[in-house]
Amino acid sequence: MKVRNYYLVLVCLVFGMISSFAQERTVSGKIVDKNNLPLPGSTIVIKNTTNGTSADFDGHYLIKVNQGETLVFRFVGYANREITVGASNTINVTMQEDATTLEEVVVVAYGAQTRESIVGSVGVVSSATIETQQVTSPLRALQGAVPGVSLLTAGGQPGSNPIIRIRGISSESLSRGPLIVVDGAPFTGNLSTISQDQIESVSVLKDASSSALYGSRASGGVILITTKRGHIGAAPKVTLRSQIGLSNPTVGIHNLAAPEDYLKLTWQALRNTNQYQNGQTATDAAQNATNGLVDYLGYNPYSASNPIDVNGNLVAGANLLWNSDWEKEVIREDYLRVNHNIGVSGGSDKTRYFMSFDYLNEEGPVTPSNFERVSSRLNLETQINDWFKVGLNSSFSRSSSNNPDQTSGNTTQAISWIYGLSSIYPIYARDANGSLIRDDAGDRIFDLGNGLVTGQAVNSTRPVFNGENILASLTLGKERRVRTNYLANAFAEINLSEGLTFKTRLSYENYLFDSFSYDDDKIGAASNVQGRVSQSRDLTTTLNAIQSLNYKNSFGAHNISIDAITEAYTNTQDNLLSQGTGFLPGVDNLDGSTTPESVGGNIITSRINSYLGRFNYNFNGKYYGEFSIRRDGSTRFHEDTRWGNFIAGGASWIVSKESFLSDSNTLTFLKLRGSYGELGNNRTTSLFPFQSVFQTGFVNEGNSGILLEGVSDVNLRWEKIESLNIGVDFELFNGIISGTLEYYNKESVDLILDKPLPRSLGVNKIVTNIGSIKNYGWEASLRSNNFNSDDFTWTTGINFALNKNEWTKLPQDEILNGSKRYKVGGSIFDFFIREWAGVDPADGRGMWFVDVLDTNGDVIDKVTTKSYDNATRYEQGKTSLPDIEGGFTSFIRYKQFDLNVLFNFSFGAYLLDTDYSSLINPFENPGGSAHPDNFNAWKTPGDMTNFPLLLASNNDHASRSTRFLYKNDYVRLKSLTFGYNLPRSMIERMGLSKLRLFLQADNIFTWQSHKGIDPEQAFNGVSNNRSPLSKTITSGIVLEF
Amino acid sequence: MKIYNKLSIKFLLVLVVAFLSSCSKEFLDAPKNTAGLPESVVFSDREIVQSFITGIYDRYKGQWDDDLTDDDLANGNNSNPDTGGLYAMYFARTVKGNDVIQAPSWFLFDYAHENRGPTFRRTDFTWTFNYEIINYANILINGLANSSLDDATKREFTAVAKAIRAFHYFQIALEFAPNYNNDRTIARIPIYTEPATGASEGNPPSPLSDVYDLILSDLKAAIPDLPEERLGKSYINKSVANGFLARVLIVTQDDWALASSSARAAYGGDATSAVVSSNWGTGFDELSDQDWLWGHFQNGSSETNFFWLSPHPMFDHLTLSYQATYINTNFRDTFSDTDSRKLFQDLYNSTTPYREFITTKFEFTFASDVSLMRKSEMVLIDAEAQYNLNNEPEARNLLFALQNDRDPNATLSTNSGSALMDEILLERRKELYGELGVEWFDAKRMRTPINRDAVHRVVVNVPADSELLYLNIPQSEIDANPNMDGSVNQ
Repeated sequence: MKVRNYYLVLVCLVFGMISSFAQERTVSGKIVDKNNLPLPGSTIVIKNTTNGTSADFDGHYLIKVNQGETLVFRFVGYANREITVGASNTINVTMQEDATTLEEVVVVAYGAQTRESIVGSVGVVSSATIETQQVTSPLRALQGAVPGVSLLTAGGQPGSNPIIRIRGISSESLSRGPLIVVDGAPFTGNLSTISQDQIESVSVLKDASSSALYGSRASGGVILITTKRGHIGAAPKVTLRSQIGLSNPTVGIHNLAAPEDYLKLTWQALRNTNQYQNGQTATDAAQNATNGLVDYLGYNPYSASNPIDVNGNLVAGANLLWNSDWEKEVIREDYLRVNHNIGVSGGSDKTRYFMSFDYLNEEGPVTPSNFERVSSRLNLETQINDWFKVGLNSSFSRSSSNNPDQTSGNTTQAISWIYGLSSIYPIYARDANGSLIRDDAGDRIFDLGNGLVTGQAVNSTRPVFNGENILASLTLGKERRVRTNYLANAFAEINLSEGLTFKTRLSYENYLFDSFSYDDDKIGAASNVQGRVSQSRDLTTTLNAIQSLNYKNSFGAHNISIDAITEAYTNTQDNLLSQGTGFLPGVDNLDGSTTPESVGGNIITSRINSYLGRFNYNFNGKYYGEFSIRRDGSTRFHEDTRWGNFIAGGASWIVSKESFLSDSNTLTFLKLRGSYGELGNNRTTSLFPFQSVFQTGFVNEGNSGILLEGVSDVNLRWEKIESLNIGVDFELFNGIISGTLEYYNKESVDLILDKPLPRSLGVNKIVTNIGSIKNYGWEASLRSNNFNSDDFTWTTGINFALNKNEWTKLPQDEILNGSKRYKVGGSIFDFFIREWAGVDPADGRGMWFVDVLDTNGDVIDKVTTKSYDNATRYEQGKTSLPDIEGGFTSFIRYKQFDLNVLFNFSFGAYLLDTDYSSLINPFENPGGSAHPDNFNAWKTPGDMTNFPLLLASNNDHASRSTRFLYKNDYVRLKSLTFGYNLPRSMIERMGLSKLRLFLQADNIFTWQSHKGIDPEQAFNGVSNNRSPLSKTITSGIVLEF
Repeated sequence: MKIYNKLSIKFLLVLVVAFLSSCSKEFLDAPKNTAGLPESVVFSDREIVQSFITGIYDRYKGQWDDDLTDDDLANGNNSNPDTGGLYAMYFARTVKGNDVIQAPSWFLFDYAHENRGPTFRRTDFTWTFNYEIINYANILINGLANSSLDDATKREFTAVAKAIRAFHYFQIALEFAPNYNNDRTIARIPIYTEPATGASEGNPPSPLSDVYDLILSDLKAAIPDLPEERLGKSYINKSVANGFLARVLIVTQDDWALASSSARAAYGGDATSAVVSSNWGTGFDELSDQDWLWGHFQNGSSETNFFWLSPHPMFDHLTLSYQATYINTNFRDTFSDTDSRKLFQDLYNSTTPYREFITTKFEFTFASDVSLMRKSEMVLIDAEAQYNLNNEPEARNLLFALQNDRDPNATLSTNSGSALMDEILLERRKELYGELGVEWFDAKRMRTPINRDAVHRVVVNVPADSELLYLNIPQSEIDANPNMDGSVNQ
């Protein structure tokens, strides 16, 4: 039969069954709280079905039901009530407040569970928490909100997604972040395409039992994002929210020397090199430094031809002609953030809907970075009849951003430029006397430092960043990123018989990333070729199909639930690149290119096929057990190794339901839980990591070329993670104080690592399963309801995590990886670097420690050396992993005013500040910026200082050592919201149900132990010229009717 | 009945969905690695094997970075103009001499002779780059041997691979070991003749004599099988391989007759016509010049290395570029006024002594080709060989063939003995400066010092046989090679 015929049958069937409705009666009533106030939006569901409705604005409801069935009444914050339908057609319900949140329904893998029944470790962030923050990339709201989730946002480009690590780093070379699932389907696009207002809740699955159903991709944890839906039977509700405000960089960058200081320091370095390296007399050395200074730097910002005299001072009468404050030119202040959105939600007795539209325009600290986004969503769900339900969640989002480079290692990256080019180099071209050179129109010309005027001896050729000018590339060039994301997620649910449900879900995601770069035709890197446009379009499509069968039933006190699921996942990357040169002035589209330079593209597909099963059991709501299995086949591995099984199980015991505790008024809730299981990781960078192929695309004299890309391990297989979780949840005094304490231990075995190969083999590494790494630690969260009265509410919460990381197996004794050494017993974060031993006061040279070995190779002494190469690298006992990190929240409401704060903190981590070290004694390469701290340098024998003599010749003084290793503790006031809700009596006259005015401040305060750099850098604790994040203050209004 | 109907409808629906979405084995077998070609395909077709060799020449002139696979990553590309390819290795040699002066720009540490540390970029690059290409050569030899290609194809491309392998072992021997005739037993260089596999481990270093034995045997095996025809002048053919052999033999200095015959095979035997060059005075950037035997090719658009490809962007002061390389006044003074190679000017009128003269020998465009071997060099090698074969008249004639072409007023040399040899060496500097680091190469093989004149920006004198003439073994090699330890650098 053809596919079309199937659909024909399907349509006939759908119409056929509508005629088979059963006869029912109608029950109505009103739902109120203890003060007899209506509870609009309460839900009413017929037990063991998905049929239900919700109360209207006055708390009234209407539902069709058969006699003898049970109605379940729910309202958030109140205990559920179950009432069996008797003879009466009216059922009025008074709900009792429930201080506990145990009945809260939590979204979990392939379904939802009550919080009480969860045996694993699931952290939840609700829309209420998200609303208190301004997060362009929505998951930044997780920071400080869920213990064990570490977030880092590197660089201040608006829209940047955070790097997320759940419970440490469980992989070395593979993707370490969590799997993101949106409304049940894996999400592969860019998170910044989802706007925060669409999100109902975010669940973070941390342990094996909660995430094993995601099997091969769950090793880094799973984050489930659930978007908002309307409520059955709820009147339409319109919410308008508008916010506007200003941002500034969170923290300043390192201090930099102005021209006079810079020249003095460079002079000193030149003199020292002349005197101490090249053996000149002190007089000659100083004289030659004075004579050679301008030549060394190429530029002279002073009116005197040799601006620094033989004593290292500025000569009298020398006038400063320019002072380029690159930081001020490149990093701006008081830039705008605007966000408006409108949401409509509601439902009839069979259908519910949510639609939203969000507009955001946010600028970033680096000129002209910005992020402008429009996103919309429509979620629709309808109950066709008592056994058939269908729904469609769809969203469309488009963002466009100016994305000047501010995090990479490139020279024209904003921060690299500020740190890499000193203030003595002018923004605009100057002649040999320092006067501005103007073009024919009389305009200034950007100085590129590559010899604008042939034969001009001074102020013409820069020793660094030759041919570039960041202001030219920022203002004349373009770096535009456009992200378009379309998501459609359809499902159908069939209630086959009592307790047996079949569900099918098909999701399609189409994510187009368009990256456009234009280099100007007159100024900058592409001026030799009359401008360059490079545009790439990467299309990622994901098709995911899930079929699941669920059976749920109760036999007395025994409750069971069984799931059988299959899933098929296809991800296709379709990339296209085009690059051309030769543009007329003012033309910056590829059509205008006269010389094509490069084209490229590839279409590559990866797939996963899976079979899943889950069995849940509970006895009397007191003892819970869960067992799950997933079998995954992935195209990322060879046919023989591609299948893997991931099994997990867990149990919990609600101790407080036992007779010996049930009467306690102190310990009102106590639950013990534990789980163990296996997870996998297949997320290699290459889609075919078991194959080395000859790459195409090389060319020589017009002939096409190929090259082999290294060696591969054909037997490469899954990384497997064995994960244990033990937790306890408790409540004291009926929820006045509640909390959770958890211990976890997860070990990644068969870890995929780059095994370094000696470079003489001609290949640098092989990717293979050779290690094991363990992450373990404690997580705690505590909440308290300090006051709760009609006029005054005060709640506080704190959560923190203590994580440790340890190598348990490696292929060789040790693997050196940059500033770290991998060694069994050590961690992936441990710094292994040379140890700074200070400066020898006699000659000003820096010293490091070196071990003295006896003939057996045993260490017998530790002495200092002035040779960096000979110095020993030591385990420092310092790591880039914080000892403790977490968050603190507090909410206060007094009458119509409310105040919410969220701090996040991190203590105990160390940072190797290479941004700073690049500014310390940079004079071996002329032209780079210098920190004023260089004035502390050793000058004459006997000087006691920690800064060695400045040198204008190759030296290792600023090379990687403990000299630049700093404690990186910080506390950040991540969000502060102060709001005022207009009294109901006043706004009802205006026809509104809510009118709220508020002030919101994000990242407004940062306390840090090491300044000059944003404390959020990288998990490996090494800085890399990243621009700071933004602090934002906005005012806003929310209207609801 | 109704209930039965409803149930059957439901199950039919489920069956339909389940059937529509059911998976087969093909679901996982269908995706193929479209990122490139597997080895089995490469060695199934002559044309694809040829493209592998083409890929190697692209790598020579590319923007080299140590990992082909990480270009897509955020910080993947770590390429720098001073370690960008074969040209960068040669230019680092160029700035180590006395004839040219490098401003504080790229290559400044090479210029100051302070760039040989085991963790430095220069050291890492020179080692890794050459060994990477050696591995490609081994893959080629091994792949051809195991293929079912015809014998002629196998012979030809095996010869290409051996010439490439010999060329790079020769570079490693020059860069990482003392001069061959100082100490042939010194073991610093591991030898590989098989392609790397996942199971490979680092070999122990071999004595320098073994390295040269391999170089010579590879070249001698390759030359007879190599054709003269080639896809272009950036490809290695029989003449180029002969040129390699001639260069190796003026280092080993133990077979001058073969050195002479190899050089002759390379330049064709007629010195007078061989030395004629169209590149002098026109920018030294045209590969089609009959004088040029081998070079890097650029066309300015689809094949260009932008500002990377030394020496042109370093030497050219008249075009927007680095403008970093100056000429020693004393070197300039060795040229007679009628010498067509006397292309020097005092452009800046600077008071800084080292900035007095620049040369216009090299003109920078994105289409500049780079010479890697010229017939003129081969003629001078022949002259040197004749001198060492005690055939001084022939040496003088060969020398004059070049001198006379460059300078109409040149006269046949009357020097003999070491004065004649000195004249040949000076002529090598005058003819080849800026191209291949001729001063460094000659100082190393002739065991002579490089003394810098006072005009230099950094005056460092390199004594004869100085360790400044070779690099330390990279720390990364020592760390990862179980058969090598830190003592190799002591």
